[in-house]
Parts: sequence; C-alpha cells; structure tokens
Amino acid sequence: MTDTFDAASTTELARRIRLQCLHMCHTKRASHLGGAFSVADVLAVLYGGVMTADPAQPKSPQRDRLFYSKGHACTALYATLAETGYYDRAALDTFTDNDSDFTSHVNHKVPGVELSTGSLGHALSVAAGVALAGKRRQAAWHTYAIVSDGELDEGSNWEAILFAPHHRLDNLTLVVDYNKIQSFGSTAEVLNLDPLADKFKAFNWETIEVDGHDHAALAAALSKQGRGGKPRVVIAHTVKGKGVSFMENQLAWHYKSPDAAQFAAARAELLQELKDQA
Amino acid sequence: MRNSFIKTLMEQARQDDRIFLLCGDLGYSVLEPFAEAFPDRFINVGIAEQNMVGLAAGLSLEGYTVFCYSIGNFPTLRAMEQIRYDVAYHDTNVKIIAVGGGYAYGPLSTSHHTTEELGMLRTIPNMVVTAPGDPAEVDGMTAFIAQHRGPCYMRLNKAGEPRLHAQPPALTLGGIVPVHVNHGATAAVFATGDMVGYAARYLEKSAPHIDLYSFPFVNPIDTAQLAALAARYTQVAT
Repeated sequence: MTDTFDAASTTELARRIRLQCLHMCHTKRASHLGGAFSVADVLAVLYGGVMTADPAQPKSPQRDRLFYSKGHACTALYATLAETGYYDRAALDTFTDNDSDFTSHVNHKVPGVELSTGSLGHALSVAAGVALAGKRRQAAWHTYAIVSDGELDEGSNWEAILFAPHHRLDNLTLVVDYNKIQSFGSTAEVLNLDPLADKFKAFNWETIEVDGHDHAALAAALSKQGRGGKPRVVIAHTVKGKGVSFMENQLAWHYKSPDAAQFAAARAELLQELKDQA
Repeated sequence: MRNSFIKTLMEQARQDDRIFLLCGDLGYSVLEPFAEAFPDRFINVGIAEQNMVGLAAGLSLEGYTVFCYSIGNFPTLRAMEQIRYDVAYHDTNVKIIAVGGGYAYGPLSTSHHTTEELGMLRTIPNMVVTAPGDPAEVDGMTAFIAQHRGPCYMRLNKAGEPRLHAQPPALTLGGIVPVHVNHGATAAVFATGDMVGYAARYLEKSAPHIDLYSFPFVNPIDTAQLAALAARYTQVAT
C-alpha cells in the first residue's frame, strides 16, 4: 500500500479493526476497548492508504514509521496489522497468552510494531529521534506518532514538543486521539488540556484539527505532502468507544471487557453498520 | 577523565560515522572540540534528559551509536524509565555517560552527589554498567563501549585524576584490571571508579605490600576471573 486513499475501503477496514478489538477484549477479558475504538479510524486511514508500507517487509528501510505511544490500546494496532497483512489473523488468538508476543501493551516483537510502549509519554521522543535520523539522511520516509489525550499530561512529551520544531522536523506528524476521557475522569475534570490547538501553535507546530472519524478529513490532514519546515500535529476529535452505542463516551469502557451479552450486542451493531451501508 | 573521554570519543567518531553525541545543555569547555569536528553528529538537546534518552533510542533504531552526556544523576535518575524501557529493553545502541560520579562535585551539594545510580542501573537486564578507575581506563572503556553492541553506562569522575596505568589496559567484557600487583601478596583491595585512585594513593603511602585491582565493569563482572583472583588472597577489602 503506497500513499493512496479510498474512503470505502478504509471504512471497511476500520469496521474490521473494531470487530477484532471487540473479539480480543471479550475472549481474553482484556481492558482498554474504549480507547481502541476511538483510534480505529486513524489507524485505518494510516495503514489503509496514507502510509507507505510493505506488510511483507515490516522493516523495509523506505517504510513510513509509526510510533504507537498509547500502547494500552494495543488491540487496535494488533488488529490493524493483522487486517492489513503483516501476519495471519489467527495470531491474534494468542493475545495475552503466556509466551505470546501479543502482550497487553504493544510489543516490538510483533511484526509492524516499531516500539514497545505502555508507559505514556515515551514514544514521541523516540519518534523525534527517528525523524532526526531521517533528516540527516535526507530520507523520503515519514514518521508518525499517536498519543492519547491523557498521555499529554506527561511532561516528557513536552520536551519532545519543544524539540521537534526547533530542529525543523517537518517529516514528523503527531496524532492526538482526543476522546476527552482519560482513565479516572474526563480530561476537562482531571487536567484540562484546552485550548489544545492553541498550545501546539504556540509551540510552533503546524496544527490541524479534524473529526477523528471522518476518513476523508483524516486522509487530508495526515498527508505527507506540503510540509514546510514544521512538524505537524493532527488533533483528532474522537469519541471513546466509537462504533458501539452503549460504549460511546463511557469511562467504564476504558476498563471493562464485554461479557457475552455485551459482545453479541456490540457485534450486531458493528455488523449492522455494514448492512446499512450496503 | 572527561577529557580522556572526549579525546577517545573523537578518535572513535573519526573511524565510525555512526557515532552521535547528545548532551543535556552541559559540557562547556569539554564538548566543544567534538561539536566543531562533527557538527552533524552533535546536538545539545537542552535541559531535557528524558527527551535526550528517548531521542538516543530513536537515532539508534536508525543505526546510530548514540552517546548521551550529562552530569551527576541527570542522565540516569531523571531518565531512568527511558533507560530501562526505550534503551535496555529494546537493546538499542545507546551509551549513557555521566560526569561527576560519586562526590566529584561534592561542594555543589546533594543534588550533584551521584551515589545511587550504579546500584539502580545494575539491576536493569542487558545494561553494561561501568566505572573506569583512571583516565587510561576511561580511554580504554570509551573505545570498548563505542565498539560494543548494546546499551552501556559509563560513570566518569571529573578532571585531574592520577594516571594509574601507562597505557590504556586491554578490556574484555566484565574483565578485572590489575593496578598494583606484588609478588606473593596475601591481601588485596578491589575498588571501582574514583575509589581506585584513592586506594592507590593510600596503599602507596601506608601499605604498599597490598595488591590493588580496578573493577571498571560494575556489571557484568567476569565471575570466573573474580573467583580465581579471590582464591589468591587470604584477605580482600572492597
């Protein structure tokens, strides 16, 4: 897949990602489904067309790199990589098992995962280092990093946020999955981030805000074209639990794993989406 | 020790264009020669140690051998999670260098007393932890860690330390370095880092019949060599 975008196909990919996440969290009684659902569209657009990648060669030197800093929402990345051909879907069956590489925070031993994450606030610095190397080598490839909103509470991010524009890393794009709910309250209640776009602009980032579930808008915002000396941040306004009506905007779905009834109801909604589109 | 470090690092960097040096806004009157000789491979990242170590991990993922330089506890305690996770767990080729180990900056008070980092770092799997005993050992260790594939830490003292070896000793991973060995001595002192110099001066004046060994590798230590050495003496002081 090289830098092409087709909304119908990324929409279908996002739906399949959500179905996989739902299945993984149900069968393995795992957490973090809400934050996996909120980022599914971003991942679908990136892996479904915007990013240059070769699933058969996960370490291809010309690939675009993606650093998934919100490692707790691991099901979304694992599902995306499975659905885009980095490995067999059956590999997801070992999620959380002993001796499996599919650990409950993303693991770099899984093909396609650039960095193990799980402690928030780390990967943007690493991504900046990678982007710096790209600049030194005048490479054509691009570096993406995805952070969560609550994650921006961590001060270490802001060191990298100062660094990137100072060193003109316009080959770096940060995506903020801004679903407004962190892990013990809303972002507004816990540690207000707003005005978030203004903060990034003041830090000299090219700043774009989009509806994080609008694929066409995401594709335009995430494009590697037209960069002019500044790193870019895409603030994706999203809904935690997006895609399943009873999960949307619920703090509890940061943690809960769906029981049998919830699993069936959620699955029906996600499949109904397909029926409605047909 | 810090001048030995930068001199040897520059020699290594001349031969190996993957070597990259980051500093945390420290190194005035020490790092300038490196920055002038290799402007594309030096960055002062500012007073931001967590970012410094994260950047180093990222550069290393793209093939660079990255040295991170700061003072005291700053490149270690301040960025310990980045060292544990982004560096050691990912086996990135990052070398953390701290100048001012122990009480080298004693008058600057507690914030600049570097006394816990060796203990902390040696518990992190995959981390090579070193504290060379004199400028010659620093020369040898700088070359060693530049060529060693994997995460390393090197604790330096400061400047003006007594030279204990005429030439940089040959180093193997975990190897122990003799400093002063008498024929038939029954007692020995084992020391590391700056303490080797203190021990050398004391023994020379007060107990020249006692042997002295430097442990520039805090972790790993060549345990076979250690056992053989300990077997030669009836008393060992550390």
